[in-house]
Amino acid sequence: MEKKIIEYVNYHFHYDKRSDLDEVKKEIVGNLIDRYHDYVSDGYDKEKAYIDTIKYLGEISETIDTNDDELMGKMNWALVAMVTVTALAYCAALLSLFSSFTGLLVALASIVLFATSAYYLYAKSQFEKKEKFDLELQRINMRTIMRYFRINYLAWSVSLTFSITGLVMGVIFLLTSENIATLLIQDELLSFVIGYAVVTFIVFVAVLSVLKLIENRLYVQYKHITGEDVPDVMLRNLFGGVTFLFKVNWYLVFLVFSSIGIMFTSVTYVHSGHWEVSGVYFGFIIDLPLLFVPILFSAGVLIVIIVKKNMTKRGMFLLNVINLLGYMGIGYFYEFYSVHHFSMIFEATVVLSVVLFAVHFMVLGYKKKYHKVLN
Amino acid sequence: MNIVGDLLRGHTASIVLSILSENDSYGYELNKTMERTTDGKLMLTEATLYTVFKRLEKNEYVNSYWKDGVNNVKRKYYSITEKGIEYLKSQTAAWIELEHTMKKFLKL
Repeated sequence: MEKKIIEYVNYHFHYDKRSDLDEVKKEIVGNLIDRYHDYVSDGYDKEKAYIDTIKYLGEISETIDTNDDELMGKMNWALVAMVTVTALAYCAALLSLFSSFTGLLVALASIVLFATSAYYLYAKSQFEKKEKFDLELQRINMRTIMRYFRINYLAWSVSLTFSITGLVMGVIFLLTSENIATLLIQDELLSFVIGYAVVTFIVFVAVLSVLKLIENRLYVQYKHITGEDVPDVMLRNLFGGVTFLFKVNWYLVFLVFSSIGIMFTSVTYVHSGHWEVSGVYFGFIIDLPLLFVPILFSAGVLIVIIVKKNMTKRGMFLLNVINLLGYMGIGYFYEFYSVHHFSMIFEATVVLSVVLFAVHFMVLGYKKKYHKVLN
Repeated sequence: MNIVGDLLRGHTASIVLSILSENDSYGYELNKTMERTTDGKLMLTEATLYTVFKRLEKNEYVNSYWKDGVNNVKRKYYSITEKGIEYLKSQTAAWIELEHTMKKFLKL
């Protein structure tokens, strides 16, 4: 464990270039190792002794004379980017229900932006405050990064699960497609689709489980690195107090919801006299390019909200009305001229618009909270 | 909320100097003394301790030297200087005056 303590201290001083760095580290390591041995002598198990020891590196904030918001203010663009990451992540999750490819693209953009912002937050806090020995700032940033990670991971999981499932099923479909013609002739397409749906469900659960395992592993790593529990986040807290028969497990809810959607994969006998598989998820098939248009609308509104310094709620409302009209127009246009026989495109675009409307409000809320950041 | 701890934190330098006026000491030992004396109300992180020591050294109130310790680690000991003793005296006098004044306000 001594080695682990040394590694932990080295990790915190990774970007530090002070002249007496070795001496500082040696002093701190010595103190922490003494504390660790005292804890072990007191009967703590080694793991708990380690966690409790590293908390003493920099948990109390008296080394800084500013508050959290001021510290956050210095990390302006990265925090704004984090909010955008969240907006993109949830848009991506929603889009995945309609088109896994589009959802994947937006989710990847969100993940890349998150990685950039997180790295910036971490590195900048290390460089900027090294002279003041400000471990507290780094702790705050690690917490911020993890908070956003936790908020977004569920949304990323949704997008990635749909995409990977879609990809796997696409391969399976290609491998088995030769038989479809036979099935069509024998009028056994229904049993094929049911089998296809079951396999989809299994792949879906497997991918989601792997992503959940990765998430849990990252949380354990976070605790080892920082000595802190993973911070609570807004979206989870929203349902934290629910005391129904069981505590809401978002993954379970999502799993049930999605599996129902998958089972709704429909087989339709169209007028031209042949069978048609009418979609993979929730019965939707949407041409990809058209979905990019509402995303651009939304991105435009988001940029205006972030860039404009004195954005009011009324201004944002007007922009969203324009956004909504755009969605409705596209939805109506698409439905009217669509060669497909589905009739939920219009409703779906309206729902999407309303959700994004909520996201915009969230962004404005963050902006008000961190108005120093943007002014 | 640990109000006593927060109030004590404003006087960390004086507390450290008063402990060093008894014996030379090193970071962890100092921290333990503070924890024990305040019944756990004052516990400093390594970051805080470092800042305090750095400030005291800069003002020439303490000197430091290395010494071998148990657990195969070297310890950095601190000792109070003449200037530090003088500073501690002035802080003690200021505290007595502050206490006297506060008692009047708080009608103790």
